[in-house]
Order: sequence, then C-alpha cells, then structure tokens
Amino acid sequence: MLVLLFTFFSTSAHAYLDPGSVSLVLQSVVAAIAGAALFWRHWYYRLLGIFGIKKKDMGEKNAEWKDDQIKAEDE
Amino acid sequence: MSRDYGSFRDPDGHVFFASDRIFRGISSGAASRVRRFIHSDFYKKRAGSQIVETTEIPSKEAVSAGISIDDVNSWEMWVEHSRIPLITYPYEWSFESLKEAGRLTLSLLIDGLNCGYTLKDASAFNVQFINTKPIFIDVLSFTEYKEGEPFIGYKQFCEHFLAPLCLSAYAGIDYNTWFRGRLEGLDLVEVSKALPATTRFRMQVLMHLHLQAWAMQKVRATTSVVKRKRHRPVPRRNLIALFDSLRRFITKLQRKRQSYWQQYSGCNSYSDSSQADKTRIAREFIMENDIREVLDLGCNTGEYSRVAVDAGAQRVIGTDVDCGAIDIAFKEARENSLPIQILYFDIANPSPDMGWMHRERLTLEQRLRSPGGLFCFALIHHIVIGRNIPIEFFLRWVCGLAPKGLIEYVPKSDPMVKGLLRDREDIFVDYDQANLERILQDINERVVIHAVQSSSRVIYAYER
Repeated sequence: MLVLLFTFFSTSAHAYLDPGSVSLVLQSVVAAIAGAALFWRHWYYRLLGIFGIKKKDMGEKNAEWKDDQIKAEDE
Repeated sequence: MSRDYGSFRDPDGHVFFASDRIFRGISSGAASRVRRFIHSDFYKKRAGSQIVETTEIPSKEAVSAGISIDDVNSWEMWVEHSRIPLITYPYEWSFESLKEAGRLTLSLLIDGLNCGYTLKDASAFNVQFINTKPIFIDVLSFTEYKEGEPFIGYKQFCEHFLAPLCLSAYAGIDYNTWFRGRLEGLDLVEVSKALPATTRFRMQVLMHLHLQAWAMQKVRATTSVVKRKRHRPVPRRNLIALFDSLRRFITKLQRKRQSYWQQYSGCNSYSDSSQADKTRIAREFIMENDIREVLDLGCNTGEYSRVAVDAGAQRVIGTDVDCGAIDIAFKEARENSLPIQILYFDIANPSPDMGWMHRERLTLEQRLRSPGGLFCFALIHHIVIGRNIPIEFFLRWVCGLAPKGLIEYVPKSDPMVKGLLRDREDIFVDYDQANLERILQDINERVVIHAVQSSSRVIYAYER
C-alpha cells in the first residue's frame, strides 16, 4: 500500500532539500485529517452558537499563541 | 572578506562577510523572486521584527566593501542584511528558545501561505536570536506558493524542531547533545524509539513522529526504485490547518525534567547577607568600569545577568550547562524584555567547529566578540574539581575572554565543594586560594580581592 501511495508523489523541481517521499505522502494524509478536524470544529462551534452556548472559540484560541506576533491580516 | 561556509547548501545564494557587514549574493535563477519578495507587503510588515532586514545594493558597493570582483560577478544580485549581534546554533538554545524559533517558522509559513508564499526549507539554523527574540535570517527560503504544492520542509521541521522538543517534553532527554551530534536534525526513527509508549496515544506525536518514523523505516528496508509521478495536490486550507494545529501543539509543550540547578537560588550555600554583598560587588563592577557587554559564564537562572542589566549593561550573554536553569533564565529575560541572550554551553566541552570541512558551524569563541566584562561566579570548582581541568588552564582561558572580569573562588571548606569531593580522593592540591592568586597576578595587570560578607567565598576583580 505504501508503495502505491508513493506513486502519486514527486518532489518539486526547484527544491534543494530532499523532502522525503514518505514525508510527502504522510503530509497530505495528515493535512487532510487536520483540514477535516478544522471543518468539524467550525460546525461544532456554530451549532453551539445556535443553541446559545458560548465557548472559547477558535479565534480566541488562536490569539493565545499570536501574542506579540504580527496578525495574519495581510490578505 | 570571507565567505560564510554555513550557507552553501542552497545554490540560490551565498552569504559573505566583509567590512563587518553581511552580504548575500543571489543567483540569476533566484534574483527576480527575491526582488519581488523584498518589495512585498508581506516582507515589509515583518522586516526587522520577524525577518532580517534585507536591502538590495548595487554590485559596486559589494566590491567597495571588500568582496572580490570575481565573487561579485558570479552572482546576479547583491543584498545586505542587518547584523545579528551573535550567531548561535540550535544545539546552544534552551528548550523555550527552540520552541520560539519553531513557532516563528510556523507563523511565517502559515501567514506566508495566506499571502501566496511558502518556505522551501524549515531548518532551525534559519532562525537567530536578538536577545530573546527570534528572527528569520534566510530570505532565500521564501518562494511563491503554487496551489496544491505540499510543504517541502515538513520532514525537516520534524527533525529540527518537533523531534527535539518532544524528546525533551516527553522523554525528559535534553536534545542539545543529540542535535550537536547530528547537524541534519534528529533522526525520527531514533526519537520515536526513545519516546515513551504512551506518546503513541497523543495524536500529534503519533502522526508526525511515530507514523513518519515507521514509514521511513519501511522505505529504508525496500530496495525497489519507485517510479515517480506528479503528486496529488494538497489543498491550501488543509496545509494551513495542519501547521496551525502543529503550532498550537508546540506552544503547549513543556520541558519535562526538573533539574537540581533550577532551584539553585534556594539551595546554595549563601546567606541573604552574603548574596546581597555579591550583588553589590557585581553592580559596582559594572558601574565603575562602565561595562556595556557582559559574558556571564555559569549564569544558572540568570540572577547576576539581570543584576548586570540593572546596573547598566546593555547586553549580557549568559551561558550554562544546565538545561533547566537556562530555560528559566530565558523565560525571565523574555518576560521582562531584558537584553540578555542565554546559551547552553559546556565549558569543558564547548561547541566545536564542525560540519563540512569543519567550517560549516563555528566554535562559540570564533563567533563571539570580546565582551567588555566577564562574570564567572561559583563556577571554578565545577570545572577544576568536577571536570578535572587544571586550575591554571581554566584561569588563563577565562581571563582571555574579556579584558576585565569578576571570578569567584569557592574554597574547599564550602559545602558545595565538599559535596563534589564527597565520594572521591582529593587530588586537587593546587586548588587553593594562594595558588589561584599567584596565577591571577601572573596573567593580569591588576587583581583586586573582595571578600564576600559572612561567607568563606572570595571574588577577584581582574584587569588584564
């Protein structure tokens, strides 16, 4: 299965660093999990909002690590 | 002029030192990309605070600074970077410093992805510290993000940041010596084996370390060549979610092991009055000699580094071999925004010159500019008795580091020295006050003796 997964991947043409084929595969899998988790969390908080339950939301959580860092307002 | 041998891996550019300034030559393939980057809002907002200040300069300025015409002509574009006071390496950082450097790397990656940039590597050597503040020094690492592209530096991030931090947080193993032994970052397979089995139930550790290590082992065992095809795109929102969760995870990590010296202030052989007297001696030394930069050897939790700053020193470099103590020193300095840089440094086994041709990473002494003053408090017995370094070797080395300094002598009658000699024969016949004074007077122009009030300890102020 692992070998099958590798066939989907190749490294970027301009990279001087070897990203490791295993790590590239894993990254896409883990990123999909993280993306899904974020999606569900988002809806979970919205649902809580509908029922009037207030919890520390994602924005506030993010603010904790942002402290003195520049906010990602650049878009 | 000299070329920095720590910057040859990326063919897009090289760093040069000339006339006390830092330059970077950039290849024709990367010049337009770097030019666009340093004119972008993304860079401008972070220049000087998160990313090192970088200005394009005409080639002739590089020549007039002392870079050879041949070198100047072999690069398409030249930039100048603002100078970092002291270049340090990840194996010299405390746990909290590595954590801060990792957070900065991830913040730049996430904010970059939001603005159309990505990083092409995630080396911890790309981050430097100005006191306690991390700053990203490699502008060449930023490239334009192509939709669907994975993050090339993911494995490297795990090797340089995540693995050492988890090793310290979950196994209680300080990563510094591991990192020094392996400049490419920690081996994920080794770290996975060293981590307690319970970490397999922690989602982030399982996914990024154990699973990756397991898969790497499987691949290392196969000999067949896999045909490469185009990779399946990774959606940008998934990438951002991944690195955001990783950043939140790293932020929460705490160093596991409590060290003895972490509580030193509460368990040393000093009474309140002698401690106050030692503080007075340190303060007066800084003020009377108008010392601007201090090297505090054996700084422990940074108590006297803070005294030095309080007395007017503009910059203090504190070093110690105890990872727990330097972690506290770093946190204290960061919370109070003090101009103190804290380093892990083993005097009896200091950072060597190593890497390619012994020139890729330099010794601390090669990187350190001689400070105006030096503190060497309660350290001599650890080196002479604890590590069997002859007292004369030690004193000559210490006095050579700075033109003026304070050296504290801890006599054999002191409980801390008695503890060191408890289980061994006292072979240290030359460890006595008279011999120490003779050596100090031999090395220096002037030696002043300060007896510490209600203590058997003595502080010597030397002046070369």
